Amino acid sequence: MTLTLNPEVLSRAESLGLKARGIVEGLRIGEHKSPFKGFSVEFVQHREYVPGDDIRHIDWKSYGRSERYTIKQYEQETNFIGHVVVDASRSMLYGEGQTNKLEYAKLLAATLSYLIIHQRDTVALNVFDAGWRVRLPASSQPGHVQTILRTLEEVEPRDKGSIGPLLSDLAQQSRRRGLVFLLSDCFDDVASLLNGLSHLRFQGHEVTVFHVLHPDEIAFPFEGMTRFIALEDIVKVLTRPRQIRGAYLRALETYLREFTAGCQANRVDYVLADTSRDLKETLVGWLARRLQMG
Amino acid sequence: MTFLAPYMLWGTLAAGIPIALHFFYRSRHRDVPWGAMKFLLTAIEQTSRRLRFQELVLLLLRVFLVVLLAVALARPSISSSTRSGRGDAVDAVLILDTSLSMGTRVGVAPGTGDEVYAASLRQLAGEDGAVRAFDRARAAALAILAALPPQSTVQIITASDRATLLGPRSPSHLDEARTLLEQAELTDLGSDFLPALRLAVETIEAGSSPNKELYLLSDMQRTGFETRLSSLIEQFDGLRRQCSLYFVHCGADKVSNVTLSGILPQSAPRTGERGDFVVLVRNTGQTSIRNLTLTLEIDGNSATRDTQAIVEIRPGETRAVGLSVPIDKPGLHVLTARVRTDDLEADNRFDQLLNVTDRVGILLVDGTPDPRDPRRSGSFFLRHALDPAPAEATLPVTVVSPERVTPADLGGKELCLLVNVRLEASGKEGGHVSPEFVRALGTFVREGRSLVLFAGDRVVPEVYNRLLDDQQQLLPFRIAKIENAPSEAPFLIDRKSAVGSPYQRFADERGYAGMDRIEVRRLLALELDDTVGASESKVLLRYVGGKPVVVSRKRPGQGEVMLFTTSVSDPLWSDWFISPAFVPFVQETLGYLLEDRPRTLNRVVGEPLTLPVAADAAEGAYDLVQPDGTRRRLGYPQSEGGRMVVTADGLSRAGLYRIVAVGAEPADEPTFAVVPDLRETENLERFTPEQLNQQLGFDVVHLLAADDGSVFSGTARFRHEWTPWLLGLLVVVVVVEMVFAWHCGRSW
Repeated sequence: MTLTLNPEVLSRAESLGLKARGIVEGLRIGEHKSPFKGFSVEFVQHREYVPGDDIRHIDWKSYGRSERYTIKQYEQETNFIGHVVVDASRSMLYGEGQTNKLEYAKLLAATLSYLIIHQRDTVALNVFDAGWRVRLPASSQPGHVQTILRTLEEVEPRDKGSIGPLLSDLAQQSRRRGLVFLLSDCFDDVASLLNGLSHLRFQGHEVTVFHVLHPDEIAFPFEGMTRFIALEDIVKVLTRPRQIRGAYLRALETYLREFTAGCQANRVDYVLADTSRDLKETLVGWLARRLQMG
Repeated sequence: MTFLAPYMLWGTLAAGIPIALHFFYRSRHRDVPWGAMKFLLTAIEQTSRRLRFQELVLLLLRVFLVVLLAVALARPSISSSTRSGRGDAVDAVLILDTSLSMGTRVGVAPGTGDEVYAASLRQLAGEDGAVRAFDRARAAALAILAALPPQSTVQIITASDRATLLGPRSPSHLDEARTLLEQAELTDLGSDFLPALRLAVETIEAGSSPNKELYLLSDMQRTGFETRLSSLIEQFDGLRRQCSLYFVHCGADKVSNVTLSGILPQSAPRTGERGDFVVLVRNTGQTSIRNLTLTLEIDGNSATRDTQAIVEIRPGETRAVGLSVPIDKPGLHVLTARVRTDDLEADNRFDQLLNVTDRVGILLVDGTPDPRDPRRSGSFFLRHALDPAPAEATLPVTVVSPERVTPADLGGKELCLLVNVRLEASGKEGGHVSPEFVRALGTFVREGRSLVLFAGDRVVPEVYNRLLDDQQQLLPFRIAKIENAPSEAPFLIDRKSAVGSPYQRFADERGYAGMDRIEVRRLLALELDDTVGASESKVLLRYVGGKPVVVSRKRPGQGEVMLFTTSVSDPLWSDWFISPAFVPFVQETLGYLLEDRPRTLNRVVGEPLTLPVAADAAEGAYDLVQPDGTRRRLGYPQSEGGRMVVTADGLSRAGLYRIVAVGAEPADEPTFAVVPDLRETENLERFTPEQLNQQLGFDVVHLLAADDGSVFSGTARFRHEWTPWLLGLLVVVVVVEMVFAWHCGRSW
């Protein structure tokens, strides 16, 4: 399937922009704040002079007031690395056409990548199922978008997903703080998943989870005798969905409550990406909310 | 509980449909590839037990629903006698008691009343308005027919001591059944319901309707039940499981009845004299009867009728009333005794055939004659015992030797005595009878005359067995051998063994105690074979120890053959002939064989009538001329026991019958006198409903057929159907099933 970015989505998203809310570590001067305090234009704080410091940065006015040598520090603006992490496990295969979860996640990943590169930040693509399937190194070259698009087009699910350990692995490998976008249905053990997310957060990454769910998985609207065949293993269940709908929805609600609470505790941005909703609504809604929250 | 539409019970098999649908819909599902299996499995884990329970309950509800519908459509019902109403078509079997006691007058026809019962009673009553129990039974039966629902069937069985399926030929033809009831006739037979019940069981089982009813219309006389009570209970018990039982009581509370039970001659009747007779009258009713008039006439001649009045006869009392009628000629005569004024007509007349012979001819064949000294002849003592007063010459006895006797000598004789007679030549010894005479003896007995054989040295067992038993079937028992008693222990006659025989007076009267001392030293040992018909051959008198002294064989319609197992002339055999009891004993034998003959022509109703016919008269067919003069074709004579006989059976009414050749005029003399079965009137007591329930061991529905038409109100039939209740339950179950299915969120 050919991934085609929606100009309307891109136009609207560009106008909102994607800025790191926290501090990111970049190699180039960019739009985003860098943790490396220097002597740029954006004053941040004073600190005590220690031998070896450049005496050009001594704040003489402060010396005049306090007779102590202090150094003036300034914040340095830089670009960020966006890690787009796409779940390509077999459970992402559910859904027809535009509501297919994997296709939805691919399109979202491509759109995010375009946005990041378009504002001269770098983006890295990571695709996984049971392990890492694809890992494109970070790049801010405009042509990188095309590479990402082609890569995503070629992704076919093969295995069961295992998110938590892979997130931890990503955290260990990405020492530079950046933005992590997880696009997944998150059908994994909640504790393991939250552990991976907290690991990323511990490394200083700003993490956003796009929880991609099909409306059937949210509402469980089936009727009549139905045999559910597991996408990720050989389990088959023959049941009357109407009779177990309540129990299913309770189990889902419990899971979501637990997961969102974990995200909130780790200051992970949680976005429920219902594949029945237009991608623009999901993305623009998230960006707008992000903008409002500063 | 019965089912009015039992074939609908096949519908219960449809209970398999919900089960089949259950599995069908389970197999008919759609496949959905599913990712969020984690939550699905959690949901199933939490709900599977509840779902399985709901599924089972729902399935059971649906199976129950189908079964309930099938049972409801089969229309289950119960019978109840406490309510009134009508059910659907009924297979009714009516057992109509036609025994003699049903002729009892029980009341009068009701003057008013439009009900079927009352109207039928008026129609069936006699001209004087008198109603018999039989009329009540028929009226009740007609009322039952009228009360039967449409499409009902009926079968009528008449019951006396035998059962007859009266009809109708088509069970649904109720009009024919009404006609049959109106034309049904009483019999003079006794009561025994067992044959009728067995027939009823077959008839009930042949019926197709689930509603089966059995009506017993009877006076409920005790004898009808008590004869074979245990078998009756078994039959009734079986019947009540198949049908509803109704006992319709038709009798009266108290019956006034006397029975004429016999006419006994007081002496041998002679032509030109008045014959003296005793008529036995017994009150078998429950009330005393006063001013009873008893008459006796001969050959229906009312001019010479003798009449006696009985002032009073109490219940259970038997009177012997002496009456006499003049006898003007020899031959067969009919004595008829009548009594008037009681409730039961059938036993108020008694007919007795009487054979009057002027002079009885006796042929005495003496096997050891001694012309020079008659006192040494074998027949000497017997000849004198037969006619102890020869001056009066009342008995013409012809004594002849074996060599001289011919078949012609048997002509005109009523009795033949063989005293120590050799039947065939033995070595050089002469003195034996001819083979023609032996054959003539067979004919002699078959023609109804009697033969007496006396033992002696010339009686050779093998010869007697061969000629008299194998060839002529005359011997009561085969002779085994000549047996000698030990000299110190001769055989002694046991006169007490004569109880129940013609010689009973010797057992009863102390004057004959000397018989006990008669010594018998030699006798003929007999083969007392059980295969010989008990009714034909019997032992009349025995020795102490059981060996027979006198044996007898009497076939229906034939003369009697008696065998004395010891000698009446040889002192080496016995000293009986010099005993004082010898003459009375011979006289008793003579009286029994000669005077008892007319009584043997009497038959009890129900017994077959058998008339031997000569070979030259056996070519044509015979008719039975019945008491009312009508004829019934009997067919051709049949061979029976080496002779040709005409048999009439199935007789149900008492009276005088004649068997005559087709086309021939009836003779003046009747052939048979058939008397009612007087066992029936011995006890006219009847069972009350409570007593019947107690006897049977379970309750049946009792209906009372009385003169008051309002008492009998047709059948108490009511079939309480459960169908409406089951349909109501069905609706409830349907609602429950729907609610539960909705609650469980499933159609199937």
